[in-house]
Amino acid sequence: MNTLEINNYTKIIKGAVILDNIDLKFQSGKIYGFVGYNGSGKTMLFRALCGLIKPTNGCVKYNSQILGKDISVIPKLGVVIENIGLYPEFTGLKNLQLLAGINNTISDEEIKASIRKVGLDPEDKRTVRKYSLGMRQRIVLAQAIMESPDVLILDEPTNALDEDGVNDIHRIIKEEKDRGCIVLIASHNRSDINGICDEIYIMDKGKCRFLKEDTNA
Amino acid sequence: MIDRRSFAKLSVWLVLLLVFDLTDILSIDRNAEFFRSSGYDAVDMFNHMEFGFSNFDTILIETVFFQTAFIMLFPLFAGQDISSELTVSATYYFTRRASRSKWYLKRVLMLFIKCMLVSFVACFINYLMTMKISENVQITPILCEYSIFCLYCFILTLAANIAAIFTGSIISVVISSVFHIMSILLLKSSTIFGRYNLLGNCVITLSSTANEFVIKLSIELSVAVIITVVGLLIIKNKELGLVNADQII
Repeated sequence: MNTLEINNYTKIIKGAVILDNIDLKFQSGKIYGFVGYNGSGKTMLFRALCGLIKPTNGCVKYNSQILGKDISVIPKLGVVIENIGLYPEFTGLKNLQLLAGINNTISDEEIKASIRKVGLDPEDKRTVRKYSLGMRQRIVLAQAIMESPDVLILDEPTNALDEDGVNDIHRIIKEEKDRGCIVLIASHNRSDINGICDEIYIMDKGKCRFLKEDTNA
Repeated sequence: MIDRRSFAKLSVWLVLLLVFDLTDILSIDRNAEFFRSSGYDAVDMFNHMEFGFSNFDTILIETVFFQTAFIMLFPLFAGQDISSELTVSATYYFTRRASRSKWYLKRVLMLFIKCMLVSFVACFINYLMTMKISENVQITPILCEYSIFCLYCFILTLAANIAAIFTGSIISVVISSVFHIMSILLLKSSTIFGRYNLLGNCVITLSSTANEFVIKLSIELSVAVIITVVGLLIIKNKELGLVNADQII
């Protein structure tokens, strides 16, 4: 069983406390939801968990190994971070091929399967620049799940999606959970994640508190 | 990763460069006449076409400014290549592989290759022009000129990229242009301080300027290495996704 921990994590930038002594532990096969207003610190918390920022205090541990010290990155991590895009001049498939080429652990067929899984056509010749917002959201999710990650971090994955799109994303997230993945999902809209999370936390001004265990999950 | 878009931009750039230098080729006879009447030889003219004109009349500074103006424009094409890649997809890249150094050095190498291409085209055109003036053109000064020119181009463009990583905007191009204008002014000042200007006048004659060339090459190499290392430290320590305090959450 994999565990992801964030221990007493504080991040201060230019005197502003962005993350305030966050202390959480996540386990395989569970979905953890984070809700909060825009600017509450959700995205920053996820960046911290990915190791993209350095803590002012505290640390992130994956299977008891400290991120940035014992390990450089979380192995098999799938990420969707808000407002971070892919190469707009390449097709969705080409973008995913480029990213898959970094670790080189999956075949083209597996990449195409993940694109189909999110409801897109891998043979689509349009570049990402010409994708709608919803299609971009789907292709970014495809890059996150294509390598069968052990940890899946999704920041506002249902943004710009219609009802069918949201249902598709929920279905995929549940499949990842059933596979044994640690899934973290953030949304400013609580209704987006209600019913799929095992635990829900609320973020406010950099602080995180437990809200409830979702019995519907 | 092969960045086809930036290479496509480079192709456009090289075409523009050819068109730009076409005016020189068309006015070769007039230029040649000027150099002959002034008592300069073919190598002098070659030097003049790039950086070295310290012993020439200051009226030529304007000419040299236009001759080298395309360097000011080069960062417009390549001055944001590294920074835009960093902001576009580096998050997905760095969460898969932590070696930021490898990512950065690969892109610096690509940038250097682009600078080599641009410099090669520029120097080759001047080589052809020089051939028109004298049949006894030596290849060594041209190679010296090429190396100085290439490094200068690289320093300017890498500095623009590093500035763009900080600012995330086109301001890096403005900064590069300022650097370039400063260089031109340094060249101008060299007419006051003598032969030892910073960039040019390195190969007026082989025998008298070999040491000067080595000094200039060493300076440029050192600056290139320093800028590369500074960029590496910035990339390694940059907290991705943070632009300023207002955008952090």
